[in-house]
Amino acid sequence: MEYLSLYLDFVKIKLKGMTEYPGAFWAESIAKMMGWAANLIIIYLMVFRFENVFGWSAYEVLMLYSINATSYSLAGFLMFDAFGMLSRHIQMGTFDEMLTKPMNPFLYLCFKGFSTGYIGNLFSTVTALIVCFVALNIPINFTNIFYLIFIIIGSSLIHSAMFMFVNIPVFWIVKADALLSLRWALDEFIRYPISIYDRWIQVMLTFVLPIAFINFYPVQHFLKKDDFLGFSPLLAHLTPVIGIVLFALGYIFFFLGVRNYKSTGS
Amino acid sequence: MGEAHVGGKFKIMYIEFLKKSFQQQFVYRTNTIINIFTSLIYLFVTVSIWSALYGGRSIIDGISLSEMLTYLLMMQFVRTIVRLPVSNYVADRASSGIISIDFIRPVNLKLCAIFDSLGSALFNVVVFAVPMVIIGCFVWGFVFPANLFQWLIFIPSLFMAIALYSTMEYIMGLTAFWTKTNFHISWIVGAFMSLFSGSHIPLWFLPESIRLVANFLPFKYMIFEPINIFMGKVSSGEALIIILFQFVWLVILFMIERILWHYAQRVVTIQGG
Repeated sequence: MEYLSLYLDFVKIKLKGMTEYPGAFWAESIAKMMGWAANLIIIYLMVFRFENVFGWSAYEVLMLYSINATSYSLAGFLMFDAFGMLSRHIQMGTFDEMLTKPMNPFLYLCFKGFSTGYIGNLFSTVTALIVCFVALNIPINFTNIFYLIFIIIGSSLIHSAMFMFVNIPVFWIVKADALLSLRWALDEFIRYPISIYDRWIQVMLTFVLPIAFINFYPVQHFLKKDDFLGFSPLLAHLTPVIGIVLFALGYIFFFLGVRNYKSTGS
Repeated sequence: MGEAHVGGKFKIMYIEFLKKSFQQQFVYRTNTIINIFTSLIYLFVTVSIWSALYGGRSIIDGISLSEMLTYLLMMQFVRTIVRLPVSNYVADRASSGIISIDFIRPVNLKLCAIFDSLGSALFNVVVFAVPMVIIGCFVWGFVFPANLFQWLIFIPSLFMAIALYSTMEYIMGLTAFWTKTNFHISWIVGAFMSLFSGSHIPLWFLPESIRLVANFLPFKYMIFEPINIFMGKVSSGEALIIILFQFVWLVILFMIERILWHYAQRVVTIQGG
């Protein structure tokens, strides 16, 4: 509870900062909104022209994409600045300061990193989600909304864990730009149903780097698709569990990094 | 700026800019290796998607799957050489104040920006694009142009595409004189590029209405049309008309650039030392 009110104080400061420069905030939101909208339109047009991809219709693929993008944006609110800036903090020596604060440095980093830059993304992706629900005749009732929130929390945790896993290595190697671009390449795999890939890639995206749980498995609960690649249909409900496990691993990884951390001395 | 000192000495100077940024790329070796790996992933994913979209059908809208894969490989190549990040160069200098030096240097800012970006782009062509086309040739096959004319007209259209895109990027960079960043304009132009330039879907597969809009915008002349010419999907007459349109757009963008530059010099504020 104490942390919650502290967090809200941090958010308040960020929002105040935002209202100082309303022009920049709106420019960023509109620019990002357009960028994401273009991505959504392209996916729709591509699948629409070719009727379907492995039995997935244009709106079904769009839903796959918008769940991924919505949970990415939510994770971005908390994690992008927190961990994306980690290497800067270490290089500039400001990370030392965080270790002296009278609170858990992980939480401090997340609190301080709250970013307003994702409102434009969320606007586009949530709109797309609603459009998909309507176009696919999925009833918008209490159970479905509850289940959607349940999935999105789970997949946001997976995305948050990804932010951590690609950025925390900076404790050892100082610069992790290349890992970041690898993360984006991975993201490409789950833009379309993973049934289009070879068996070994499906296995990898399910059990080794379980990003298929971000969208491919949970979305099938709504779409009633039964495209589980020979795995158990129960995988559709595992997203939050996978999210919590990965997030916990990221948390442990962070403290391993902190233990290894030697200040640059600047 | 832009005085008429385009003597031999000055041309050599711009080539030096190109060489320097080409050589700089050798410094980041691990970065390069991981970048090669990621672009292979991208190519693999895109090829998988398009194969799945064709789903066993041999020809859609008059385009066969192997032609589509050729398009993807050509796009990797064209995109690498055309999409020069000129606006980053200009915007960094405008927002950090280094631009004040450019005002007094006897060089043309635009040419510096272009040749600097061209150096790293050529590095990427050598390291990524050409090997990828070669690998792709063996793995998926490659449909080469049927006649010499396609080659002959592809090359000028590619040069025009480079000129068009870098002029547009330069204009985007100039807006940083007012906005202090090129981030927003890059996202917005990027959205238009991905829809209308053919960098994600070739225009063959777009609905009639979107193709109509694309005809009135410069973006398709930057990526799609050169490849369209290369693949022999237009007649020789149409190819010449494409080049004419590229020229017209270049003139329009050039005029916009001149106007912006004229006003940019007045609003420049150098922040601190």
